[in-house]
Amino acid sequence: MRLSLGCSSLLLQFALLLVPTASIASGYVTGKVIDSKSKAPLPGANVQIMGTVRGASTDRNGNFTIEKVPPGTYSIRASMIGYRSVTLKNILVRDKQETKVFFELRETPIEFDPIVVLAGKTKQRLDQAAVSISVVSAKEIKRRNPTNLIEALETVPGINFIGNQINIRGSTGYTYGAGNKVLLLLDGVPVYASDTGEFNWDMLPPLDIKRIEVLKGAGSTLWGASALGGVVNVITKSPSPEGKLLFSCTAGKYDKPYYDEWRWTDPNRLHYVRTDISYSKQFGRLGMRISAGRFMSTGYTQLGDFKKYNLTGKFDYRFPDNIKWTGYAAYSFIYRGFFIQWKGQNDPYEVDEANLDNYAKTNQLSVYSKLAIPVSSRFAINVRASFVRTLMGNQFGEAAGFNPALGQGMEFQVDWLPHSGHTVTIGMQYQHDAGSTKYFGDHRGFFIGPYLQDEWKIRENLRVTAGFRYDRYQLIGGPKEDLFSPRIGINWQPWSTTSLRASAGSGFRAATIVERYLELAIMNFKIKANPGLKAESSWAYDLGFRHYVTENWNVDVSLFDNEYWELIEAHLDLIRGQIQFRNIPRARIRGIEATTNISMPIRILGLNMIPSLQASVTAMDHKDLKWNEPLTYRPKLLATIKALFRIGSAQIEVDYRYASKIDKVKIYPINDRVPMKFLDVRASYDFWHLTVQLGVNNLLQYNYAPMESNLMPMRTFTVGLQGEF
Amino acid sequence: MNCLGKRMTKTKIILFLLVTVVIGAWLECNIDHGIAPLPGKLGVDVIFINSRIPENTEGIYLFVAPKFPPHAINELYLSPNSLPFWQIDRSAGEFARDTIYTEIALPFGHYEAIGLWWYNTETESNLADVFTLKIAPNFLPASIDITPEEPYVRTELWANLTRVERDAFIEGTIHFDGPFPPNTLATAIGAYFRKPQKDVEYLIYLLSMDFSINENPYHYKLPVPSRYGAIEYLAVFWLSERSGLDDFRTIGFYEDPENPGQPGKIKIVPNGTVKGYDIYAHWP
Repeated sequence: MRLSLGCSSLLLQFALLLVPTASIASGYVTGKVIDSKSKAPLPGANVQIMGTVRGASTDRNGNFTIEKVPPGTYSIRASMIGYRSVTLKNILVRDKQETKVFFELRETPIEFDPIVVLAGKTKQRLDQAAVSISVVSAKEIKRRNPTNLIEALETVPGINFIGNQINIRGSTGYTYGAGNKVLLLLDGVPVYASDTGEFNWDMLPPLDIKRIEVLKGAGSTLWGASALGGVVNVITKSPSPEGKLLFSCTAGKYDKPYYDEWRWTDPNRLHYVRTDISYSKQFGRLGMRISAGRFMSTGYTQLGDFKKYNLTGKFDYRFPDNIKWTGYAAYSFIYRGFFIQWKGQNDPYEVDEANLDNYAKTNQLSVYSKLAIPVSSRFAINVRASFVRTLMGNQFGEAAGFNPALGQGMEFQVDWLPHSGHTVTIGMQYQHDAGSTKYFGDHRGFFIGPYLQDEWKIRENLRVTAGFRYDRYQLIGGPKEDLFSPRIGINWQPWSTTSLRASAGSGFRAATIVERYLELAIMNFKIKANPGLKAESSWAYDLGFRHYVTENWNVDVSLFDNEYWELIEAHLDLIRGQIQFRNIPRARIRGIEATTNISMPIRILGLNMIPSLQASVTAMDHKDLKWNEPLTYRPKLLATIKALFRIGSAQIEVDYRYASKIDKVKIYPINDRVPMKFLDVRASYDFWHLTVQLGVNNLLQYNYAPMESNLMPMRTFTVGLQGEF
Repeated sequence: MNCLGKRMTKTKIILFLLVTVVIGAWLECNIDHGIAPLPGKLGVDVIFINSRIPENTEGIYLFVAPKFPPHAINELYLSPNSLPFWQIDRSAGEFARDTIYTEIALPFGHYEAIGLWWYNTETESNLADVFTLKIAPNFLPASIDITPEEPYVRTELWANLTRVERDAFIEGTIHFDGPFPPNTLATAIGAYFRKPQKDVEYLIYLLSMDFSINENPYHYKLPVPSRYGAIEYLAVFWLSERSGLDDFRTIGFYEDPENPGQPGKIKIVPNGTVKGYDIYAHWP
């Protein structure tokens, strides 16, 4: 009898539950975490015993218990999103005795140094990481009121989107949806369609997101395939200790086109509505969060209409001895039109009549199961299994021809703290991808890769990280490749207000099934297969510093140099009108990124006011080194300004996003190209358990096409209502 | 100390307002609305001089070339839709004329050529499917200018689709003097009703082209329109990586057996296939 990879992994997780955890001399730590101002308990705060794998979250009353702590003296840290972390030092834990600690956390207007997991697969303070990372908090997501993950990410420094494809410091460019050079993780588990490598940015409702971490630069040493230009980790909220109902309703009304001659329908009918509801509760040892959402839009163009539904469930179960199982399932159904290109620059919201039936429906199911076993205070085992099933149908009038694309993954990871100062992460990852349609046949491939990383705290203010990974990629019945991904990094904090970081890390990505085998005719272009595509690889060098000018003002500057080998890009054969994915032997993207966050809480006429500002600039030089010319679909300058003014329960936010004109495109170089200049304005008011929001996106009615013949939305008026009960 | 604190607070507020005003002013001064409709327009009366529309016609598009010959096919402005060729009464008799008016939006500028491009339902389209060009009295493509003073220009094109009615075939083998160079983008065979003398004539006299040559030796079967009676020049071209449509290099041609070194003339007959027209090509 053959067992699928998912079943095997679940059996392994079950077997590991039987592993006895160490029973040596130990005490336990209990305590409470409260808000320093209101003195109210803080449920969901994280408490971690530093130098061990022991930690806990607070319950609805802000209380926590950490069991099986070996006797000794520890530093214990409490952290929570929106609050400044507090570390209590020299806490003595005695054998068989309770040690009580008490934390008062102070609310911060800006999330300065949150805890992240992207840097080392273990929890770490952002300012202690050796690599460049940005974080989007739940608070920020709530303020932006996004309708999907793209809107939650588009103001992150160094990120821009070309169509649905994410670019971190210019990593991806635009590859017509096939093959992202960024890895998307859901709670640390890869979630990409196994045939195209595409992300489903609608897979979960924004109100389920706890935070999003973005690693800039290659990250394959720990995260494996596809982490060529960066990693995005979407961390979902855990079940709430107390029953919590969240809902969000957002509606948008598209304004009429800026130019009357661009009108193609009655503009009053163009709108969208997104509704989500989520409920979570802890029932003893079992926690659950269930969410459902519906997103409907008429679109602002012909074929821009869609209906999207999603259903997600997150469950966890806490076994004795702090063993925790987490399961997550996200199902989404999407029915949408495919706007490939405009009819003409004078009819930019219309398509050629011959393409009006370009509709497709997509079903996607993403599931993962994780088991975390803290065997002792210095040794923990984590096992993950994942499954992503994507089924697309009815594309371009075809009634059949697609079969489900199946991605199955499994990972075994050990966190080991052999002695003070070292955090060793050892693991093995396996990923199997399969896809089959009449457009590219039936193909399967797999990766298997062991990895090892050690973070060594040489001194309290000096950390060195070194790691290595080997991957074997085998396309069944096709080529195989061996890939090595080393990494080294250093973080030094010469003063408590300053940290310096330097890292060199490598990444790789094998061509997706679509990039290798797709044969399809779209309008006047023919996509040709290229079975001989090699895996692309990169080395990312990053040198940065972070400095606190004052308690509420920080500056982060990073110099980066990303070197690429065999970069996979869509190649347009201008003679025959053919598109084929090909390797660019050498490419380079290097530049500088500077970000500053400033917040100035003030009190005028008895009102608390918090003006804050985040500004970032990313300047890049990108080059195809074979032909010594710019890479396609990449701007050279990105800038964002986010200004926020909070008065009591009301707040006004202004976002400005700029991207310089793209130097080079592939399909229509004669089309007008302009820089991106988007200004969004929002106002919101919190009362009772509700937040009401009003906003205008693209206030200046700026018409921008990130890729040829595709205009971004015109001015859009938005209204939102969010509730938390 | 309190007084100093208040002063600091005021300074912060003023600083914040100042920054906001400066950003607002900067934005206001730089307001533009990005991409705008194209200001110029070319109107074309396409006069079909007969009603013979090939059955395998997928579309007929008007194109305008800022540069001719273009470097690449994506440097042409193409009409967003096909001309409604299905409106032409095919039963009206071979010599019945019909006119279709079409327009294309353009930026202001100088355009070196206007023409019609035929797309068929069976094979990939290529340069040989340019079946009509507006020709000036000097027999070269006629140019036009779209300017702010004259944003709308109207002209006419005479269309005859019998040029793409490729009912006859030439068959033969191409022998190369070595393996394909690694920097090969494409190798093609083209048939001309007259031997081209200058660059632009390589497009004007072209009747058929096939880019699928990929092995040595290569057996070809090239469809050609029989109405020309003969092909005066049958040549093999090579394009290196990143070269454009204006960079074709002739690497061989069918030679007159009676007069080696000179192009041979190939007689063709309606619906017939002529065989044995071998070509020896030499890589550059």
